[in-house]
Amino acid sequence: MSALNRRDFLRGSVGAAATLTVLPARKGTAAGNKVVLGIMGVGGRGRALLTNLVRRSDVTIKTICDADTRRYGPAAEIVMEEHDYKPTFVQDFRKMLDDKEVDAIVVATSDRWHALATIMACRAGKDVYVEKPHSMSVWDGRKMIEAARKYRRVVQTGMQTRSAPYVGQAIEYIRSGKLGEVKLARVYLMQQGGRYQLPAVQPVPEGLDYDLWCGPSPMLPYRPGPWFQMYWDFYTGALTADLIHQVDLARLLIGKQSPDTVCNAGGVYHFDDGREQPDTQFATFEFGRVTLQMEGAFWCPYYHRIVHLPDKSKYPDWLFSATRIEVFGSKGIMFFGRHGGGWQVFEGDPRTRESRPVADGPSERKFGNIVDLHFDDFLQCIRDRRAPKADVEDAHHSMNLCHLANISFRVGNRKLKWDGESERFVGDEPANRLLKANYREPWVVPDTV
Amino acid sequence: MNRCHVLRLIASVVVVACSTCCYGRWLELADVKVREESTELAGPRIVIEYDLKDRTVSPESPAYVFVRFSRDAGETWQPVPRHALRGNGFDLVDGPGRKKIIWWGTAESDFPDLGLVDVRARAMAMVRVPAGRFTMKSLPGAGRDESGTSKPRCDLPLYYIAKYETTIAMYVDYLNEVGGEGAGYHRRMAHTGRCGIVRNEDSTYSAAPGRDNYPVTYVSWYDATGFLRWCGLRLPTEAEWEKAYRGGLYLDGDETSKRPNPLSERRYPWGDEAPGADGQYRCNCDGEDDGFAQTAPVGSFAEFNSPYGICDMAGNVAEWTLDWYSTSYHVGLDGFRMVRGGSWMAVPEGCDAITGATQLPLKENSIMGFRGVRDPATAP
Repeated sequence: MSALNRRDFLRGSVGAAATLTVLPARKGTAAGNKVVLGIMGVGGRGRALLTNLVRRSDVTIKTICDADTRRYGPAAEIVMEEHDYKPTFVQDFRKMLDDKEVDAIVVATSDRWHALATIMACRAGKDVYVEKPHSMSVWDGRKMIEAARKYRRVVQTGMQTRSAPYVGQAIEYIRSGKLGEVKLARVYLMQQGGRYQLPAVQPVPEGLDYDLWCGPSPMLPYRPGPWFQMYWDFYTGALTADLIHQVDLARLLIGKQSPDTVCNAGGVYHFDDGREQPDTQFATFEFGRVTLQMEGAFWCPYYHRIVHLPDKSKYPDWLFSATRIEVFGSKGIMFFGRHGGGWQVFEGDPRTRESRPVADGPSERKFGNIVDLHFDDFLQCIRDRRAPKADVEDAHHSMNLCHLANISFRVGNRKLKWDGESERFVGDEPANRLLKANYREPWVVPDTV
Repeated sequence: MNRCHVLRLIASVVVVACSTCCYGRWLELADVKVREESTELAGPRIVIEYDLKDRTVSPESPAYVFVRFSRDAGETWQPVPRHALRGNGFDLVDGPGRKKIIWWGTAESDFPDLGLVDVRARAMAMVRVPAGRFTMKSLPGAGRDESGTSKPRCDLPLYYIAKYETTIAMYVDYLNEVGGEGAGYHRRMAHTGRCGIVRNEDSTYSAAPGRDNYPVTYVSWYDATGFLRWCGLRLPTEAEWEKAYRGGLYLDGDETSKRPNPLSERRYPWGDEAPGADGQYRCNCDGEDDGFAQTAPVGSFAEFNSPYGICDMAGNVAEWTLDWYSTSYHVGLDGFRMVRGGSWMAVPEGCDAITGATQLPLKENSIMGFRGVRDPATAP
């Protein structure tokens, strides 16, 4: 970090008491005006979002931000191709937060930055679209809510399927009682995974601000590749980082918030590559009389993700859908697909031993359309100053289930009692110690946002 | 494109505009003669003769010659299988002069009338990358490589890689042969500053004026592999790409080991100096100070080639590779491929030997192109 950067940091660090100035609520962007956006993190996900955003007439991409300057070209090209101008580039995202012209930021960095960047952006008066998983810990998520509420910011999370048109119909179907009494829901992420490799330590490439890149996570010796995802300090696990979509949708469908208990089963059973997180994970959450089961494994090549179905105009082949959601009612079962899969309800007759589809919600041919709808919602909320469909608080309750499953795993797959009010485990200090992520100074999610 | 009609046997060749300095397009095959001959024991054969005049063609920098034919008056084309060819003028040709290709086995090809066969031969400048070790610094495909070999590969067999990025002229030629229905063509290719391919009203294609020698852009991974399959080539793996960029530990290969690479861990093809150091520009990267606001004609920075003499490995257009990008849970399921080398929009450090980017294979844009590799598994 240069001397100038250090001074910038001291002024901007959320952990520094001197910076705890309550910002006035930013005036909402007037209807008809373009929302000026900055993008933080332009790797694969950031560029995918950018591709959706540049096609919109209601936003201007002003700034591209990445700790790695080498990512500027591929990202700027996306903007230039559509609009014939090159967006500004900044390596240090705090400069983007200082820019009064930027209304909102899109956080598409690696997961370790999501919480702190969101909190800092809220403090800077920016609305935020943050990718999933939005938090690294229960603590992170709670502080993100506090920041959003304190600074009256719109914080939309990247659970895009919430904006799919077929979701509301499914909820209505269940609430109407047509499915009967719902007692069980299951979510899946069953597919083929891959090994992590730990390449040799190398000098930090020129153009990469490795301190900024690591952020709240430990600044380990530099190695290329995604090896760091093996460790809890960088990642919530490849299973839960993707399962959050299904967990969130299941929670939405069954209408539950916090479980009474969690119990995880599984471990690192398949990949002998040094990873800390399970490659085989089955967690059970009890919400009173309703149970949610989460099943994830990375050794199932016979399951397929919806996006790879050859004919996306039809429903997924539910039996082999890697990412399906099942809601079991006393009258019927609902199969629900994320990312455009739609839903179908089947009822059966025990006398004839036949089951047949009785209701459905249409699948969506392109996931990109759902992403567009999700941005529609975000941008409209910026204008209306209301909570978005995947508000940070909703995301928090869903992501907590993933965190709880991981904590159960980390304390030996023990069944744990959870108090949703205090957001602490009941009488289990080893588990409670894992409610907060480890942070590397100065990139600390603060007690007071 | 010139066509030499001999009876109904037709040989098509592409002639470069400036044969003394600029061989980004097909190499010139001059004085092409195609004839049918009868043999007593093996039936008829087709003989193609041509002059390869390029004096730079050598064992280290051979020409890759491939032959395609049509038996329906040019409606559809297919490659002549290598195993059916003999002579000194096909596949890797290691020196200039009069060359001959003998196409045996035409009787097996079930031609109703040999006189109705159209034949086209094309030649591409390649560079020999000798077998041996090199210093690989990137993690190819983040751990997964479609070539199926273990990674990281720091010891590669002999292979040949295209000296230049695939040009607009080459790609236009390909489109005119296979792209009648629009396959491989994207509307944005018409952008004259960033690509420059025009789709004519009769569904043929042509390069915009002056754009022949620029690298083709707006090609997806599938477009690139389609073109290379058409040539009989494939994309390089990341390991092959990186060795071509930096050079092996010995530039003559491990077998002879007489020419040690003075900078086997170099940062750029020419060495460790930054692309714009000392006011001298060594490649086409972000900004116009290097003389190019967008893409540059291939070979524009020939003084700063890789140790093997390969042009534009840094900058100009980023290049598709064969390798998947893989995180633990994507594992190629979402299909990202690796792109290397940086582009005319990349910051200088983005053009170095180890930097890669991920791109979905359907992505096509103005900063990505490709070059081919002669698969070592089938190299002579």
